[in-house]
Amino acid sequence: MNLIEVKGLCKNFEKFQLKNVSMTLEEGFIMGFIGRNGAGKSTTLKTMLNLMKSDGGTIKLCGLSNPRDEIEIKNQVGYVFGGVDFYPEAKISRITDVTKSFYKEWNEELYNSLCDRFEIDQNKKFKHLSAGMKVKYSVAVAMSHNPKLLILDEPTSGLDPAARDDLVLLFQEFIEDGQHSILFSTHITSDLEKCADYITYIKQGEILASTDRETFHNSYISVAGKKDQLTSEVKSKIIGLHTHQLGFEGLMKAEDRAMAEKGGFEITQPTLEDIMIHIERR
Amino acid sequence: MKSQTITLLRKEITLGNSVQTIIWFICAIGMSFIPSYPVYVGPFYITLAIMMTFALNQSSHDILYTVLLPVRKIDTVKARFLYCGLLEVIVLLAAVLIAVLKHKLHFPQNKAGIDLTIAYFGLQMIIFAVFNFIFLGNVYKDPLKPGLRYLIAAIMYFIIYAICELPMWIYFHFSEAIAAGQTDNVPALAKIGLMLSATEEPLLTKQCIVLFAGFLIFAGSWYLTFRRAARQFENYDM
Repeated sequence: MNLIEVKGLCKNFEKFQLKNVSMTLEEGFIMGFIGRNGAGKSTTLKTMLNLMKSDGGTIKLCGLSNPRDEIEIKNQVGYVFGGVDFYPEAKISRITDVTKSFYKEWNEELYNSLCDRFEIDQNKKFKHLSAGMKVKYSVAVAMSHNPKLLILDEPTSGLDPAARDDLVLLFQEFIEDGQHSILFSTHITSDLEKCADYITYIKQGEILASTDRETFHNSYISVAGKKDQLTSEVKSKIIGLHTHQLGFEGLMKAEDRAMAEKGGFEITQPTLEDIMIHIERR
Repeated sequence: MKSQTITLLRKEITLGNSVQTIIWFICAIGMSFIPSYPVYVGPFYITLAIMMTFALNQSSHDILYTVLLPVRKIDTVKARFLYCGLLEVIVLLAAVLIAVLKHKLHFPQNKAGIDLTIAYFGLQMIIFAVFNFIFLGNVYKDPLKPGLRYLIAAIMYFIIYAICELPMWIYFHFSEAIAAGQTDNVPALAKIGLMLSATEEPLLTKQCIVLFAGFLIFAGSWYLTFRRAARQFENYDM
């Protein structure tokens, strides 16, 4: 079953458009949603959650149509917005008490075990939690109403590597029963290297690619060479060309590998970060 | 799916700015005990509490938190309206108790304007109705920017307050002539002031009409303002 089915999603602002965004995600997987700041990641997620009205397209989450089944969707989907401090002056226990009263299901045992695991002191005020703790608390709340799908908007931004690793492990545990999924927007690509099964790449409001991580990785090669190897034909094929005193480096589509080999370029497999940097450099 | 309005109202009270609200509430009530103080000014503090509910909720991301819950947008507006309406009604009910207390303790008559008469409650409800229509009726266009809308509503509050007090001020000017029974050259507004300040029959019946009219305007405005705000919030992009 697809837990996410978005087709042709559009949203028009004066200076920015979300153009025909489509993606699907089956249960049991993590999808990384990447793109630079302002590419449209948050707008896509907010439109999917009906926080923004769409100007076209269809949205199905957990098999339900948004906005028609909005309330049921909100019961089946958990959200975390990184960097958003809800009620900084309120105690954690009070925020939780209020939050759980809205959900049809609430797994108190799971909530307490997550709080214990992350050492969240429920008598503290929200503002007194560290940045990492705030995100962990938000994730604990989001997971405790037994959602099928988690939608996370840059949850690991601003966290130290250890805190990010804790969360990535939790995300992997969440999906391991094969019935849950996570859509995870971030520009920290190293987190996705660890856990994402699929990658959806958005640039200037348009989806460049939405595929499994391996295919996405294998779609590109990193190339480097000397200045005299940089012919106009090669130039036209290089994505995010960077020239320096010794030569050049850039990204090529995997289908152009023959040209790179023929040219005698140094070829390596790019990381997600390399791909992102070069795509955004173009 | 049953409406979550009551649960949302509980959220407004539990996670709202209760300390601030209590402070403004004490100000609103306390002003009524100051001798010769304009009684319309006290409830103005409640409008500040309402504005601060929106303003302080910016920093707590209350709107985002609420719309992410499994609730309808219209229910979030309804709960906020119930909360604000509740504050206004509690201030009015407290004023009723204060009026009874002042009467029992033989407080001197208010020389600065209207006293806590029956008509006052009707006029205060009209002032609240205008405030609600201007502030709550526009704030949901962008609930994260309540400042300018409140400024306009606050100015209107004092304009309507001045209009409501005008008959009283003219009445005070002509009070000696009225007391001496020389009412020929007394303007109609002064007679209205006499009616508004009366504490005995037959003028109390007319005051009851003012009270009833005030209640109808308050309730009607509340309903129309709610519908307007709900429409605005439906179209609001987070």
